[in-house]
Amino acid sequence: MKKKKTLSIQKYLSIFKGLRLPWLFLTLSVAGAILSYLFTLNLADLTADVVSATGDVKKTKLAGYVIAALMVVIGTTASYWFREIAAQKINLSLRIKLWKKLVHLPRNQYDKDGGEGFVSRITTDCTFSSTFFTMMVEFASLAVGVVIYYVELFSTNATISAASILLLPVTVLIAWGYGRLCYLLNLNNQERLSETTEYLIERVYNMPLLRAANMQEKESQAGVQRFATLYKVEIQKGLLASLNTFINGAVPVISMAIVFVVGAGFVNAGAMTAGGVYAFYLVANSAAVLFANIVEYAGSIRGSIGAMERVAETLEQAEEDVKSGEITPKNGKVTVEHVTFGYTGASILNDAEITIPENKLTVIVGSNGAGKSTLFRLLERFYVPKEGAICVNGKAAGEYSVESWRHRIGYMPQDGVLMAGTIRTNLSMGADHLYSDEEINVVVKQLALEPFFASLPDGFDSAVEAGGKNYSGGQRQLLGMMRVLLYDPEILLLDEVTSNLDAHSARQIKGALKEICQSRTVVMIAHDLQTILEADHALILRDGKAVYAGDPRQVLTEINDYRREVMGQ
Amino acid sequence: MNEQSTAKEGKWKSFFCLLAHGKIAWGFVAIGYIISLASGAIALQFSNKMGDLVAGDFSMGTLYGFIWMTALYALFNGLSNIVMTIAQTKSVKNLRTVLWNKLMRLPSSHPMSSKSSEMLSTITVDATTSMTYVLMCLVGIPTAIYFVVLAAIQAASMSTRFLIPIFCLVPVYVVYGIIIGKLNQKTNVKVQTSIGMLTGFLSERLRNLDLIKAYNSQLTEEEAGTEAARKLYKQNCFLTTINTGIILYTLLFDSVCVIMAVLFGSSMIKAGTLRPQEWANFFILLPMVNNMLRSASGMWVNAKGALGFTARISALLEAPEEKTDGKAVDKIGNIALCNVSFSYGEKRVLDRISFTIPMGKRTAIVGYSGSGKSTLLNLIERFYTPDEGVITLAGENIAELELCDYRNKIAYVQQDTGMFSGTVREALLYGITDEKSDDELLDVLKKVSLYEDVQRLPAGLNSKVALWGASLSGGQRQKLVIAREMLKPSPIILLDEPTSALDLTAQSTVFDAILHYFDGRTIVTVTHDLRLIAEADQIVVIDNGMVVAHGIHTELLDRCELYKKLVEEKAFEEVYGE
Repeated sequence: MKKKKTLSIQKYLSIFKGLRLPWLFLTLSVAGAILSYLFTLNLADLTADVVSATGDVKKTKLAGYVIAALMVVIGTTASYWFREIAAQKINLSLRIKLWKKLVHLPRNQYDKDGGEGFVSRITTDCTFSSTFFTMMVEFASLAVGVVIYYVELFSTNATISAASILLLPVTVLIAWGYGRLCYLLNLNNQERLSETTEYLIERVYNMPLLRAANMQEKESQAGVQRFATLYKVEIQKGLLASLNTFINGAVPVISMAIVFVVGAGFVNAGAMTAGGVYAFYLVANSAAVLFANIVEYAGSIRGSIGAMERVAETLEQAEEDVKSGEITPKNGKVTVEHVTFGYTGASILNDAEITIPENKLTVIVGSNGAGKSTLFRLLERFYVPKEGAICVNGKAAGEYSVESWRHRIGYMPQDGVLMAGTIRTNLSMGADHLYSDEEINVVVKQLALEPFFASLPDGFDSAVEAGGKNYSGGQRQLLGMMRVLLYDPEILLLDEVTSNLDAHSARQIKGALKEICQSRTVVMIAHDLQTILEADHALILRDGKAVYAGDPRQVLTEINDYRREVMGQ
Repeated sequence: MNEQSTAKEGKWKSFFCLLAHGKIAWGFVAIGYIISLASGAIALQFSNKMGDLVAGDFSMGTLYGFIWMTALYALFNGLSNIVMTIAQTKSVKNLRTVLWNKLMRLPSSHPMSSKSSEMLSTITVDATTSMTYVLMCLVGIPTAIYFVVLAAIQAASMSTRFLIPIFCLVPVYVVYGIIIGKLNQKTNVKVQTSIGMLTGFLSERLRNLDLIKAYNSQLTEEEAGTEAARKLYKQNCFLTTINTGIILYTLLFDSVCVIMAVLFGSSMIKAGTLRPQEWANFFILLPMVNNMLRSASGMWVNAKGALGFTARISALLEAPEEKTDGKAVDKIGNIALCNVSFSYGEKRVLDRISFTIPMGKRTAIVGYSGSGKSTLLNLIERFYTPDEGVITLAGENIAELELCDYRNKIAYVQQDTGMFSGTVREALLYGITDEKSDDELLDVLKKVSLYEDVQRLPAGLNSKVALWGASLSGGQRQKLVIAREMLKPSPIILLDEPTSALDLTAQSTVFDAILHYFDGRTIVTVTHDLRLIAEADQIVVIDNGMVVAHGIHTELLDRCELYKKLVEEKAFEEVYGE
């Protein structure tokens, strides 16, 4: 059982390593809590006096009560405020720490849960960790409170205290059991919850398919089934929460019953006044509330361990080292030497040997899954080959620093990819300043995009929504093209960058590329024949190998030969 | 001012709409309601017994009565909690089912249809939030009022002067509900927005991490992320401070309650108008009234906060559904578009388009991207209804035909719709009602040259396809979708860029399959693929939402400049030059 999912204390503490924890706030929170516990005792005494005095309330007593009540209020609120602000401070520094880590993780770390899984790690999981931390602090002040109360209780009446302290082991046992239950349920539920969410996401994002296939009736039934599963999960959760409320309500009530029943004996025997019993009850009640809280905290702490484990794991991973190594030379010849690579199982590149001719437009042709995009990812050093090496001037890539390497070799993904901001911020990516109009205009001219920018209301400062949603696929590609040119690498890797452009714009871009190749090396993945024919050099990838390198005009023959070969079997 | 008040009314209306259409588990709500009321009455009895004890009456009768009441009180509290949990969860489930059924039948033109993430959160988050708070309010507030009234009656029976502090408390919590509730709500919205911004920022960056790495801009992004996190921190701190204020307010009033009880009681006892026992009773009662009022105003605040969610749900519940009834489709013929115009919002996409798609022939639609080609197919599929003009099938207005029947006549390969996770077999049979043998399935897979790929999978047709079909390449997905549509006997085939994700070899295989397999049926293709265009019986050239020319390949080359440009003669000759 232990082996399964126990987060070791060291691993847990490693989350907070190097963080500046708000110790002052946390201490003040505990201090506030203790203040309120102490004055609650006073308050109980005074209340009892007030009750017993049967009408004869002295002004000094009342004043004492008011002051004590005020201190409890101040102590409680201050404790709350300091604790919550401390939690927010921890959240913030942990989020920053995690984000800094994520930005620097090597690419292959993202493949496991698709990158976006990390989002919830920062937004949600971080909160769990800090909640855990502040809860521990609160737990500590609770413990102090319980001790303070019981010292007082025992000094008042040892018999009743002994009776009511019996609750302690019971509560602890319940807390343990409850925590265990929470943990087990959460483990199962998370899975079923995400299944249902996945089902819904798929359908909701693909509604046209569902409608075109006339599947409303069947999907309705499937949906009902999913909701029923979800219902089971939620009802378990809900009942568990009710159980918690029940315990929360029952513990103080039971403690009260004990106090009054035992106290009644003393009153009847004349050993205690009714007011004394009431005062005792008030203190015992506060202690019981603390007990009940222990149950609740135990539950949430157990429930959040899984989340913290993920945070700790992420923080443990090694960062990508981008600085060390030689500066990549400016005019280097890039060769791919006997490279074999696969993401998980099967190899995608198989002993591939490729030479990229300088200052030429090279197209890479190949069927789906031949390894074209993977080759680009290796060339950009997002991944490291399993065997063989990518070399510049005969020296393996590992000798050069990643940063300088990526500055020499620019990369443009198929979509162009815009992020929220303005066109200018998007174009200035990777630069140390925002580009001026003059700097951008050079590229605008190069690609003949004047009409496009003339049509934008705010020119280069036009807003870009998240994911570049307010621009068409073609426009995103044009802007991506501008960005890679502004970044000014010597080698450009372009992944089907004209696929969303209309024929006219595509031709314009290709014309511009011709010129760019005078002084730069361009490598392009292409599917359309026209682009292939206009290139200087062509490579055909098949099954992870370069099967052809040479004149683009031969590509068609090559492909047709292959087709005949395959079909002819 | 006026507008604001109507907006508010609209919101409360949404509350009732949810009650009416949300399929609430009324049975459980009723039981929960009864138990809650009973637990209120017990609480009152309990406070009496406790008062007796405090006043010094420790006789066996009082003691047993007290223990008895204590147990009952705890029991009923627990019970009402459990019943209300069941009522809520059941109602949420029912509401989800209603919403899901509604969402699938919304017309595509409904604004919600294009906002997938909103649809999703409506079913998952909004349903839970609104239902929970609405039910809590529905049961909790009457219970609280009931308790306060009972308490007031009891207090009045002891001394009418006790009514004064009770009624003093009421405005305190009305103020609480209105002012603090609003403040809290506003800050909450701000926090949610900040969380949304942070999430948006992070997911955009993490999705495009390749780009960030390629541009060496990790450090810039580090700072930007820190900034986004800091904004959220500030909002959270503000919210915490407000919450602290709320706690301060309630704690202070707890104390004020006790002081009031002491002041009122002591003077009356001195004057001899009140027995100590009564005073003790009241001393216990007043904080309980205070608690009840507080929790009721808290529920009110929560319910008000949830109104935003409720409004979205009721808007959805009241939205019209796709019109499905109509005449059965009894004959297939030419499809004719007559003066069809269509706009997305302000933007006119199609402008008085008229042409005929002849039955059993191949029609290709060409034009620059954004010229309205896909919209045209969506109108024929009846995802949208034309703003003006009509589309007819064999002379019948398609809007008059029975929707299901009509869509069954059409096989539609959409541009980037994929498939749902499940097995290859399930993906192939999606939307297909009649039985298909394995041989039939393998046969169509062969036609789109996917047979070998499927054979290579560990479980063949029964192999799992991952979420979004992610375990397949783009080309394999496209082939699978085409194979799926081949399994349908539909006489009309709509193809939107059916070969866009395929490589050269696969393109021609799939192209052959389309031409031969669908031969004799009405085929409408939106395409850039030169071979598909060249084989068409009719080519329609669309520019800026208008038909600029139609005819066959050789004709159009002669007389349509735009077509010439589009076709890029040179590439065409290269392909067919051999």
